[in-house]
Amino acid sequence: MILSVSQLHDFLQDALKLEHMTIPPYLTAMYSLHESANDLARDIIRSVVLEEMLHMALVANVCNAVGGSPCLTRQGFLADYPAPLPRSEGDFEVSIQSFSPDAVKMFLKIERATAPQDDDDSFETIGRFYSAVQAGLRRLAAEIGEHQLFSGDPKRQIQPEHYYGPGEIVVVTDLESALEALETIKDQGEGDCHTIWDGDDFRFQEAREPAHFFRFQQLLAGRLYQTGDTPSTGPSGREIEVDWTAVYRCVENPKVSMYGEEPDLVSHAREFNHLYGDLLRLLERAFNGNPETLQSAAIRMRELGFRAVELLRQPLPCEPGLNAGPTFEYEAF
Amino acid sequence: MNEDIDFDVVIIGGGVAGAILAKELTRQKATVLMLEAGDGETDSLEKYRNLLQNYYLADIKIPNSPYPVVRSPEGEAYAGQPTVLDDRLMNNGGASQYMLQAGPMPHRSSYTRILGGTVLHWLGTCLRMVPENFEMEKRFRCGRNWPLDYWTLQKHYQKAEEEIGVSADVSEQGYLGIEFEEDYVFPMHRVPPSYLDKVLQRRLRGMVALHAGHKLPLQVVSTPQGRNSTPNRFFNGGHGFKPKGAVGNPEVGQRCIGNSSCVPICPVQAKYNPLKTLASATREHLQVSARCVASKVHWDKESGDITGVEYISYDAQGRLNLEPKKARGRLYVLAAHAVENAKLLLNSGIRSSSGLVGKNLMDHPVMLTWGLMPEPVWSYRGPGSTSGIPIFAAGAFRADSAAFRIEIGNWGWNWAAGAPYSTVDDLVHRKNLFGQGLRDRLGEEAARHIRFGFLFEQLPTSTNRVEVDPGQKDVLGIPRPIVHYDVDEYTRRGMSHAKSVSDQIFRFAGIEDHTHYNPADPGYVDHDGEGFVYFGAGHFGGTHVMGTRPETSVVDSYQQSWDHKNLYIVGCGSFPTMGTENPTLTMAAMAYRTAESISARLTGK
Repeated sequence: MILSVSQLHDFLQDALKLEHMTIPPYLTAMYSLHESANDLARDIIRSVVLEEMLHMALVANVCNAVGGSPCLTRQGFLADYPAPLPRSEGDFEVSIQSFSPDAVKMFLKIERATAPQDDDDSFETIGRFYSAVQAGLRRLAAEIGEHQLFSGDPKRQIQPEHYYGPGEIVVVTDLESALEALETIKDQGEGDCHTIWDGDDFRFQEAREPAHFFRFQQLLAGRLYQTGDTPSTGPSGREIEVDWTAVYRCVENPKVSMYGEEPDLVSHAREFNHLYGDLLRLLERAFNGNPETLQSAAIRMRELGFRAVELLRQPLPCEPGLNAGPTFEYEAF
Repeated sequence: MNEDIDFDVVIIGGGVAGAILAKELTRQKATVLMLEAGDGETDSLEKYRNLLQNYYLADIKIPNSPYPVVRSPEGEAYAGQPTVLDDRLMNNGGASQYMLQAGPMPHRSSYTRILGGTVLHWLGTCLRMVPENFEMEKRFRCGRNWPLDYWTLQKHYQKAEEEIGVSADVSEQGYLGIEFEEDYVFPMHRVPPSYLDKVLQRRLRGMVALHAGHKLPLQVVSTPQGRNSTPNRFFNGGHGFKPKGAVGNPEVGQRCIGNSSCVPICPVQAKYNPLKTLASATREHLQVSARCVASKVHWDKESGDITGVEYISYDAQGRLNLEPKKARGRLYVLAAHAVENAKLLLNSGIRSSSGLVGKNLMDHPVMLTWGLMPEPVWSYRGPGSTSGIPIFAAGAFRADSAAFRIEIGNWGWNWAAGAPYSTVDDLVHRKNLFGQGLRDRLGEEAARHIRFGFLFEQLPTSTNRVEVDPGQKDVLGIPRPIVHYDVDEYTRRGMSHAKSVSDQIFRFAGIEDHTHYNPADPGYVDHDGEGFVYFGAGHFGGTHVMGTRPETSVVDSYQQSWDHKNLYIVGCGSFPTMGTENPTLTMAAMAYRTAESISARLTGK
């Protein structure tokens, strides 16, 4: 239960960590797909990753609006995979792995939805976590006054022209916009009002898309969702092809220490991590009063993509049949 | 003959003009049939990916390379089209080319017949015409006058800029008489200038060029482009703008990310293509029939009314449907390209009262100059061009010599010399380099490659023309286009002046000149003892000219045929003058103007 502004800041910082935490696993799965196969799987994962990035920006906007300062560079922000989601019940761990049915099942666990419930200090789902934050915002706004709560500098907000991708950034200035921002995250992840849809069609006048959970489910079911489907009917749209073998299989939760025997691999992996650290620093700058820096972050992301692909195509001699992969660890700055 | 269901409007051609008309008219609930001569496998995400594969696998990366062509069993394309390699004259090795070149000079441009049209492989440069272009005859006693002026086209330019999604800043674009409505902003902010642009801008600071006896200051200006950039939040009265991404995958292509292959294909569709417009037409009122080649326009000899368009169809496997069909509508629009429109009209016995169908064929001949910058500019990256030097696009000198626009190229010497491949060849075979030394030298040189493109206007003349000859049929039995073309003294004088300006730029900026023109090149022309080589910019125009009277033009200012009241002939073929600006934006603006006229007619307003 969120009872103070400082607690609210803690929760929002955890939200940032949570949204970010899903990105290395999703990216690794996506980059592990063979170039010429699985276009649909790639598109699906990519669309989800882009929305997680939107979620980070939305959380940053809420955080800045209530006077907080998003932090991405403190030790502990980057998870040490495998690790549980922040403030979760710890019943499963998120790990970095190449694309496979097990990986997708893990994605489903991350995105799963459930019925709304009263707040607690640990949460069974991400959706419940955000509901608790929303409840906290309402409570604090009532207690100390909305104006007092939303005292953050508006110049720190990420504006629509800074962000591009699916959905739209919500500029947070008051309770309504803060709740809206968090509702967007919940809907895109689990579905709007017990439907399979993410609400982007009425919210942003975009094409109707299933929420993340259902998008991933399509991969396992081998079919697409279509109009008329519900969470209980499952997907009844056209069949899709997923080639589970057209994948660069990498070792699970790779660490630089695993590459000890291969100096080239070690230096590539460390360069990746160094660049990733750069990215986090740029994002922190963007989220702390320099929103135009998001553009430089986007450029870094492209570069990281190329390097991730390079690593995933390198066989790991100490693990026959498996390749290396980016390790997403802290590199000494 | 097999008769098709009647439609409100039959549009021949699935390019940018046809797509805009299809979208505007179906939005007004008109039923539209679009016939596209070429293949239709372009309008989904999957199909577009196949185009990319074609491009990656092509041996020669010409503009047509991604776009598939369905062929007869003997290997001839059903929807024939010229490529940039088809520059031999008819009587000198070019007898089997689709677009026959009667000469005296080759028309060096190409076009593409496929759903989406030639704009699929445009660079994206998206300029309004300078106001002078609309009254060349009045001002300079040469060329022709348009039956409307710049300001009349203003709101259509805005519509076109919105549909295409143009990135530019108004503050930079108000030159040479171009004006904007108060408070107008482009949908997106300008695409950032390349590093190369900035170096050149620094090195040309303060430069004054001598051109045709006048001194003019040179400025490097961002080029408006149909390419996604940061939306301008003040667009459309503060409603902002949402960039259109790839067809079928709108999250991709929201920004240009520097794939640097704009010509011939943008992998992410950050660059505008007409498939985006087609995708947003009201599909329930639109029928698109690809692989349907219009062969003849039937018309009533008394009233002049068009009674149907005959067409031949083929399937994706190359089998011909031998039974000719006829498309019928209340109104007809030919939007098949300046050359194909003319060819179709001539094959239907339509020359117009003016006799000008097919005449006044124009292009933008392009002359290249290239060299080595004194410092690295990191070429071969980003959109093909992000800036230019516009100052020579207008002026009193046009009474005597052609205007030209200077395009600053970001892709080094690729067009001029086949670099960087040719650079490798040179370093290996002539400089005997290999290994690390080769790589270092290649990197060092290629980073300093710079190339300028000079696009020249041509005057309309009846000797530059498209004709047909029943003795020269294509594989479908349709007489092919025969192009008569020359680059006249007016344009050659312009080329001479431009070369002088180029020399001055190179000297001022410290660029080591590597330009050379080979007399054996098909595009070699001389003037006063100097020789130049021109290429084609891919901009055909003039063949069904707009005007104020049926005696002297083919269509009126709404592109409606004077002689055939239910016929509209749209596209760059309607242009009385070409100016120096890439014509797509003006073509699109004119298409909006025509759409308004057709709409009003259909609803009886």
